[in-house]
Order: sequence, then structure tokens, then C-alpha cells
Amino acid sequence: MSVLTNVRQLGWLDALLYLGGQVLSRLSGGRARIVKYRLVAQPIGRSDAKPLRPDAATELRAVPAGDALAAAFERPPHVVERRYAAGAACTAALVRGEFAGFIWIQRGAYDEDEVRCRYELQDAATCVWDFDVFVTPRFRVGRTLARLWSHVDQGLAREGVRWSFSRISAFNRESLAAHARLGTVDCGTALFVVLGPLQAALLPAFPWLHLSLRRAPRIVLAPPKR
Amino acid sequence: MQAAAELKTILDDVLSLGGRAQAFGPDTPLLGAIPELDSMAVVSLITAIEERFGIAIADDEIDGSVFATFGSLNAFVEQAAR
Repeated sequence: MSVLTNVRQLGWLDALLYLGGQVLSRLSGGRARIVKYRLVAQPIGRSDAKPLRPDAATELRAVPAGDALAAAFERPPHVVERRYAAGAACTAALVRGEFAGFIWIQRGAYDEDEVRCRYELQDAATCVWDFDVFVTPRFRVGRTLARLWSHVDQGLAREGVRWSFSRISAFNRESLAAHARLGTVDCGTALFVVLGPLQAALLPAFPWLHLSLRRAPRIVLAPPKR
Repeated sequence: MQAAAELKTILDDVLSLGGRAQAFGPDTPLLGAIPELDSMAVVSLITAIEERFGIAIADDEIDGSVFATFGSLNAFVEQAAR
């Protein structure tokens, strides 16, 4: 992406942060980074989209820990094991038996895996955290993601969940635009500057600024008022 | 020809192109070239095509090549409608 394209798509501040982060990362061999997230909440069980025609070739199902399907996940085994150990739940899509994608749902709190940060859901009964929403390239153009999300959405709604939180890179305009079209509610931004073990975080709520060598800041997310 | 005209109308309606689709030719690029055609819009487009042409499109029939150009999408629809 050119500098001008960055500025046009992200605005001056985020374009500067993005480019600064790229330069820092290159100069430091990846030890220094700038990461900025937009925190969003997606309403659950309130989609006004037309229901999708069922597809006999597509199976949507939960993938519990130890399920053989996990071998098809394009993630390191220790990452998958850590997620299950933390209590995350996985729902996968299979098209004619072929792994096509997954969505992970975490309850209570989610520990960020790119920087040190813990997102805590204030109302665990009505809020969850969704992460690593992934569809294999073969099925990326089509209805697999919509089916997968719709399936997860309906399941969560039956359990009384009203909101699913997630974070999106503030430098990914396409993803931000796609989430906005899905009716997500903006819950603020978090900016992280990482210099080796030192991390400075600008948070959307108290304590606002967090400096640390080891500890992770907490961001408490309350259900949006609507 | 009839299918192509109907397909242009569907593209205009679903993507809110304001009549721009009427000028599409076989080589007009779609995916990646039309900002309105994102992953969510693809879902709406497939559903609209199914309803308008009375066809059922399986998930594994669709990939990026189908939406590469207006010509490739039109060929796919004509084939599916036969």
C-alpha cells in the first residue's frame, strides 16, 4: 500500500502510526511494534438479514477439545491447545467433509495474543468474545462465513447472549467497514507501543495509560446501552 | 443475452450501483474492482441470483473465479440455469 493510499484510507494519524509501526518493526527485527485496535460489539440474535437457504453440502458443528478435525486447523497445535485450556469454544464449517473455517468464542475474559492485554466482559451472562474468525481461501468467496456466523449467532442467542465483542486492527479498513455493515457498536480504541519487553498502552478506559515490562492491562467491556 | 440483462439489473439492485452495471461487458472486473462487492454483498448477490433464476447454488460451486468478471459470473449463471 502506498503512503498516499494509507493516508486516504486511514486518515493522517492512523496512517502515521501504521507506517511508523512498519518502520519500527523492520528496524528492530520485529521487537518493536505499534498495534492499534478498534474494540467493537456485535449484537447477537438480532440479525435482520434474510435467512440463508440450507446447503446440504455444508455441515456446521462444535469442535470440542481432542476432536480429530483440529488437525485440519491451520494453527499451531500448541495455540489450539491453549485456547481449549482457556475454555474457548470452537465452531467449524465443513463443506463436503472438507474443513472450511471456524469461529472461536471465549467467555468471561480473553487474553490478547498479539500484545499483553486482557479483555474482561463485565456481564458474562450476556456477553462473549469472538476471535480468530477464519475461512479457508477456497471458501472465502461465498456463503460459508455467513452460514458459520449465523449458526453461532443463533446458538448464542438461545443461551441468552446479547453481544459478542471483538477487536479489529485499526489499520484494516476493509474489516472495519465490514463490521460496521454488520451493525457493530464502537467500544473505543486501544493503542500499544511495544519496544522489546516494554509495553506502553493507551486504553479506552481507566487507567487510560499503562506501562509495563510484564503485566497486562485489563480492559473491562460493558454491554452497549441499546 | 436475456440472462445478462437480468444479471446487470440484479447487480445494480443488490450493490446499489445506480445503473453502472448496465455498462458492464464480459471483461468488466468485479471482485476487487467494485468496492460495493464485498464478502457480505456476495452473499446477497448469490441469494438474489438463486431467487431470480430459480436455481440452487451449492456452496462448493462458488469461488473467486466466478466473480472475477461480469463475463465469468454470467457464464456461471447461464450454466447453472440450464
